[in-house]
Amino acid sequence: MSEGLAGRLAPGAFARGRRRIFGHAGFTFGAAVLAIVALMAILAPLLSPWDPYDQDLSRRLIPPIWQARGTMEHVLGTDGLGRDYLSRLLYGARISLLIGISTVVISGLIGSTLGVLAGYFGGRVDMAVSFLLTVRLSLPVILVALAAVALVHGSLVVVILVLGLLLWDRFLVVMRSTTQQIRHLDYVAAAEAVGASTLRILVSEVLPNALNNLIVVATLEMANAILLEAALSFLGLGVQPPLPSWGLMLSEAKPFMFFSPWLITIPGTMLFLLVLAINLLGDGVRDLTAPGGRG
Amino acid sequence: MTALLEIEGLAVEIPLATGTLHAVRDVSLGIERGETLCLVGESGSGKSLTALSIMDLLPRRAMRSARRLALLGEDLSAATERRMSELRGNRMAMVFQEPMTALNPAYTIGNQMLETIARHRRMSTRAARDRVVQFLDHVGIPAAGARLGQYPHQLSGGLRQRVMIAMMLLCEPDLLIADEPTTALDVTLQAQILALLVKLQHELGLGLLLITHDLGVVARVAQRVAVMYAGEIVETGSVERVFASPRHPYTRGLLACVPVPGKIAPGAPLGTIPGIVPSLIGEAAGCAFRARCPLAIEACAGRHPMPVPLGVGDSARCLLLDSVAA
Amino acid sequence: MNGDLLELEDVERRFQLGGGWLRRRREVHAVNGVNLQVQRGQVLGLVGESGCGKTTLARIMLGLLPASTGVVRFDGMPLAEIGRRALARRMQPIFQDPYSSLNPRKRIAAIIGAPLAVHRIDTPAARRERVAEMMALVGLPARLMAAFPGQLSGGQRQRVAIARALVMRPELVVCDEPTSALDVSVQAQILNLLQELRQKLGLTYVLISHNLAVVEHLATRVAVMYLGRIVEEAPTASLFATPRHPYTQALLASVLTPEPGRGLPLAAIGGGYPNPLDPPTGCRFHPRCAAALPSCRSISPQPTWRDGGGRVECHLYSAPAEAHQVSEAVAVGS
Repeated sequence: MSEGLAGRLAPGAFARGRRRIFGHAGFTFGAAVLAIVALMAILAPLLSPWDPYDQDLSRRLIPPIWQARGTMEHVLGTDGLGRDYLSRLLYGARISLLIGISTVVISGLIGSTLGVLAGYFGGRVDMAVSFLLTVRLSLPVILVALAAVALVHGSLVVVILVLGLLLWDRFLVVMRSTTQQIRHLDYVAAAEAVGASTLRILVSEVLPNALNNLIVVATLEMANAILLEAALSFLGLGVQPPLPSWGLMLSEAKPFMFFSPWLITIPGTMLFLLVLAINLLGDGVRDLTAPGGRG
Repeated sequence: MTALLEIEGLAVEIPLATGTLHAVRDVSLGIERGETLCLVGESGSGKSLTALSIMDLLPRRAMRSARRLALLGEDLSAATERRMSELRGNRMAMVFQEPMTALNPAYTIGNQMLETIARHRRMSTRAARDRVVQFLDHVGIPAAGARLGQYPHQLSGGLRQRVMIAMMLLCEPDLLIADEPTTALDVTLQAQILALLVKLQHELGLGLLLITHDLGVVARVAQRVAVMYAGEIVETGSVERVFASPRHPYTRGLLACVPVPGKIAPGAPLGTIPGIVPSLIGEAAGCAFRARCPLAIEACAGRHPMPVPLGVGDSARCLLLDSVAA
Repeated sequence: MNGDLLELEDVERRFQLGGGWLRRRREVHAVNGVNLQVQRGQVLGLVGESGCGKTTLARIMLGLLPASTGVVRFDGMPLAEIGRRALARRMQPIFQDPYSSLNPRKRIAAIIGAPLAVHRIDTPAARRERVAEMMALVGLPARLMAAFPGQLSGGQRQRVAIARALVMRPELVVCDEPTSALDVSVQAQILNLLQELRQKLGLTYVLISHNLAVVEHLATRVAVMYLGRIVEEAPTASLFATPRHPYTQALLASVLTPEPGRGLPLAAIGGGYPNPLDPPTGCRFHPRCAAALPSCRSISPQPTWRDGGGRVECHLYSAPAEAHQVSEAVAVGS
């Protein structure tokens, strides 16, 4: 332990932790934006001035408040069917976050389990899992979504299932290589020598050290899922109207693009900010939770 | 005759979030042509950074300063990056510990060696190729001609290290710095590689700065030794003198730690140096070794010991030097 | 055979390389017929250079890797019959790299206490006490109990590894290069600790190291390994005073002791370490042996007795018909 000067100069552990977290600009920004979006989603019923499904054709295409014809009643204006944009945006946050989180949970469970098993046991298990991976990688997500929609009409549940059952490849690859690296470390051998069961070793030794990478992939995939849902909904394959998915809002704004650009820029910007925040947050969490190392 | 390498007051500081790390503090040493100086110390002593600062290969954040840093009289601290680039591989060369990471695995041996020559000499490709084969042969690599087309991973560790040595000597430098060149090699190889280095040194008349933590290597290879601790040189002198009568408590402790077959009764406890290396962050007062020194007195906490001359080229940093029995 | 705590009989371990759907598999004999006995209270030093198979052998001893053929017996019983959990309470490892042998995400107390938790020994409170006891025994201050490995120095981490290995009071500890990654001054501390603990707790060690000076200091018997076989084995003093096998002689001659003025040893051993995938025929050492006889190229030597109570595998000592060449060859080889 470093006694002496260095010990005296260093501040207490709690203060150091706080400084580290908020000193990390990416983490702070990402966490802040994500917190805002989460609040939007959770408090949507309280914050929305209007019912997002409430159409009023007499109030179509009112611009947002910062433009000439804007009003306080519709702070972000209305869309082509007279629905309040702010309300739709708030409820749309729910959809995006719901999709992002549930997809990541499903695909994360599938991919990580397969990856850890393949990485830990190697041999035939690895060969079988690699085969599954190759099959999966040869499937184009969009076409599968098309097929799914043809069979079962597109909806929120279909989108979550399709994405969840298809987007596990990156989880698998990363967890597999991470597990392989950890597998050969001496502390795993020590645990084996102690007589710990395989399950215990996986849970107690392997997973905590693979968590770092898992978090990074989870954030990447969450962002990916949100964007994919937006793309699918844009193409009409995802969430169906009148649900206020941001992707669907983009699609519905197409005919009015040139004269009412806010219909595109507002949901577009929100998508961008959300995805950016998730990515920065993931980077930040990875940086901050990295173990001490040989420092 | 100008000394080959002169260093006076070398310091390397690395700014960290928690303060400035004084990794190398006030290091002074000199090497003549044909001489081998061993820089010995444990991890964290600053010996590798000292070597890197001579070649100006320090990490970007590190700041180097020196009262004097000269190679054959030429001031290196004022040299431009361009000039340093001309000198590296040409007038001074460095051999590293891990030959696998020092050689680029994506290129053949021949490719890398020819590149070195092309950088510093004007020669026809044919002449360059002949020279490379000649050197590979000289360092004891069998079937040298065939090796040109091989990749580093196709050679064993010992051969790779020989290739690295050959590569570094292609331009016949005046100074060769070897940073733990045999630590990663097996015992039987170690003796061979060291013998090779010594032989080449005699043939080319170059100065050899050998960095190691292994006291056996120091004793068998070097003429002079500088012992480093916590970024400073705490003792320097001829190998015979330092091993026979070490004056600094750290040197004594270090020598007592090493099990020598025959010298210490099997099973008897080895000498130890209790404690660990102090943090080098922030300014230090007093002697860096005092926390672990069996002879420390009160004055050691207040005054920083300067090198006390013990003879020509010999010195040690210890306040107790007069009272420490030879 | 009785009284042997650990016994290896004709142990072999083969690895398949380059497998896959289409490629031809190649086989490596990492361990090629090893016979060893470790008696209670002894320290068996196992020396050899990289690629000789000592690490593989260590894992086989610990039961972490099964032997392809041959038997490993602990206290008379084959490992397979003892079972992993029961074996774990009687034999534990200490690994080389203090940085990778501790889980960076676990606190020190949890690391040292893990074996107790796995085997459900005692109550959690009693376990905490045992952990504290172990930490004191290995010289770690109690305040480090809540620390993470990243906050400890290399020497401290190795002490944690030792504490973990000893917390269940095993009988045999397999130390795989326990001090190679440490600084010289720390190395001495750890070696002294190992010696002290051996006496205090009545332990038996298998000490694997490439550092002959360390082995000479700690071990009671030494076995020299080359390309998967034990080429010589004898009590420490005997082996170091009169090494018989040319490889042992070369190995000992290559050790650089800190004695100035003695210069570098002459290269008594030619060539490089052979490729384990393509080992030499006959005696595996013959291409590099200064004393090789014609028969060495074709016939593998069998182990024979050597003075001091050990064995050596070398035609120089085994074939009576070539005895007249022995004295010349020995002179050449030393």
